[in-house]
Amino acid sequence: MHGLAYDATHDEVVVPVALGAAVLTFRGGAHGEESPVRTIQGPNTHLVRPHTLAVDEKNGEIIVADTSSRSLLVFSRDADGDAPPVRIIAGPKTGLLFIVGVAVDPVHDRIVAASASSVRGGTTGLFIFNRTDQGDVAPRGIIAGPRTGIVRPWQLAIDPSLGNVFVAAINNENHPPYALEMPREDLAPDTDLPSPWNTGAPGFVGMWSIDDNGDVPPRGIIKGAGSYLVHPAGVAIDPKAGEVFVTDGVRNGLFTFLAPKLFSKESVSPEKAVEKSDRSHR
Amino acid sequence: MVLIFFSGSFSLLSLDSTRHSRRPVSASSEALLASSVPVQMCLAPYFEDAGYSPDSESQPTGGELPPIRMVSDPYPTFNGIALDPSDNRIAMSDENRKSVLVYDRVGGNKSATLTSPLSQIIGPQSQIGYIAGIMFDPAHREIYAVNNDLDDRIVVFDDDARGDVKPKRRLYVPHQAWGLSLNPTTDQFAISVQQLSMVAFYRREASGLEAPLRILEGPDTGLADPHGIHWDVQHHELIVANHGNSSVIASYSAYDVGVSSKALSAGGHFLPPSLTIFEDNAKGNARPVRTIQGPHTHLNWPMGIDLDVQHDEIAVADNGDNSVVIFRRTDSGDAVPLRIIRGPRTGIASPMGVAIDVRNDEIWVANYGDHTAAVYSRTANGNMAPKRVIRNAPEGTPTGGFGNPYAVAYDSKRDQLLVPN
Repeated sequence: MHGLAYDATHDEVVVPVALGAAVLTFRGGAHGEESPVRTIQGPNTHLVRPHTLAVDEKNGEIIVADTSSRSLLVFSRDADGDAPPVRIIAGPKTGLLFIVGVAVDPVHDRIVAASASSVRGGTTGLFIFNRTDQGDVAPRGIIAGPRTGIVRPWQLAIDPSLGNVFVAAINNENHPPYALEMPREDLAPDTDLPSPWNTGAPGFVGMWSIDDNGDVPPRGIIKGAGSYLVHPAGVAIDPKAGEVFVTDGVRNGLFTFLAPKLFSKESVSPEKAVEKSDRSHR
Repeated sequence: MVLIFFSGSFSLLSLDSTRHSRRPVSASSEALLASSVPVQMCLAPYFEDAGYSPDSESQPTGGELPPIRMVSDPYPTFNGIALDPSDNRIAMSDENRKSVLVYDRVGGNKSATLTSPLSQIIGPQSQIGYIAGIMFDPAHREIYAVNNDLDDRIVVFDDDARGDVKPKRRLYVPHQAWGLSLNPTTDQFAISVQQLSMVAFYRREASGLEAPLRILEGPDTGLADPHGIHWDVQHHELIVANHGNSSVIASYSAYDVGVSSKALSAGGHFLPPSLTIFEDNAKGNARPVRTIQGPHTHLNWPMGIDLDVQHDEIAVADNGDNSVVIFRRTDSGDAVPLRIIRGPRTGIASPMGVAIDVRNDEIWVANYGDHTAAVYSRTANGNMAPKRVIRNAPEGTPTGGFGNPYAVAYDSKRDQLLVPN
């Protein structure tokens, strides 16, 4: 299970079940083998492999990122059973492919998706849509490129009060040897795929503005050997306490960082961040 | 699905444990991780390039911050289990520190201290990652381990391998392979694959990108998120443990474009957990010859399984029930178990693996929810204490419970962190 969300307004926990093509909602205080209060599952849901999700508490919606149907599926928060989504964002114009992160900002009315693509012409990065977009629509912004440092994104979190998007950039190499049941035909028989032991670029947690667009470096960052992070995959925030929570698959652990500046307007402007990035690339 | 809840201030192996303390975890925390267990048990990932210059005034906010709290278990956690009774050895896969541990079968006894392994395979050369199933091949003096999530490969070592060694063979397999079982007669082995609800059969010596000889997959099979698997050579059957999650997936990686309409229209299902038993030459969408399934079975997230041919019994590590359930091999339908080992005296906690030692009349259980592998009389029933315990950490050491944690959420009402596995 690669995603979950807590709905503070209704005190509920919402989780996707990838292998059961379902979205389950539990009481916030659920414990042990407790049944969900609602289950979205069935052929009308369009759920195939729901990977992660976000809850829009203000507008009463659940936004599901499905890695297999290549879509963002928006359900009513109280949907139950074989319920169809109220909106679907999918199609070639969206640029979405392997959608592994999603977050919603009800203040700025945006949905942000983290999507990876290794197909020709594809883009790996953050895709920003209007919250009420539907169908095959182009994103209003894409944060992607070498200056971003994002090789492979994963979970997202949003601080709506400032419109800041936190990204767990796991950045490990991952080249699946199989396309479903059979080995990939594009790989040589003697191919040497990356080892599970820390491959690719070091990961980090980066922060961008929801209004950023293009190949821009993060305005805020947590990274480096001192952070203990290797390939961070999960990220959540507590803006009031100024804390960032991160899970790391290599460390198999959970880390808490105190970073109040990431929750203030003092974070570096994109112009200065670009200057810094330009200098480091020279 | 397991959600682990931590208090917002919870810390394991952190030097700071109070919610309002903002002292960073000191650099010596890593030393704490390392000093509390043998060095070879600690994952020491490469991390060469922090890529961050802390003295620039225009740097992004933040940087190389040390964490103020961390939850990370420095000890192994047992998952799969395999017995080599001819050599008096027991092996466990360790998905926390990413290793294979081999112990003396009679080691541990009732000591509260950590049991020293005979050997451990660990390190980047080994390509052991988030591993699950494990098995010995006594005839060829080899040991197999299958990487379950992310790494998509089976690694094979000489059974006396130790340290950071390269596997002698490496076979790439579909994503989320979990269990494996050998048939020395046909010189083949079978694996279970969770997300495809599939069993795949390979040549024993298959390596690289070699394709499976045949696959067993489809709605009539009853396979649904399969885990444990056992090839019953004597009765020409294959036994598979299923969690019950069922769906038809389409392409899912970043390397494929297509979305099949079949997948889009299939919808998901939650089936009751089961054991499905097939003829061992089954392929395609074959039906099982028997299915053990229903409320009387007590099956609840059945994980590893083993077969006792001599006494005609199947043992199941029943993770969700914190128990080991034993059925007759020929049981079918909503069968009542012959025996259930369960209760506080057993010490069974989220068991992942089970192994029957007919020669010594014992049964082994690998506990994911505790740092132990426990041994019982083969006929143990009810709330019985183990005869011996192998510990990968001192008694009472808590487990983080993480299994490749790829997400986190913050519960602002309870000041808790939620981490799914």
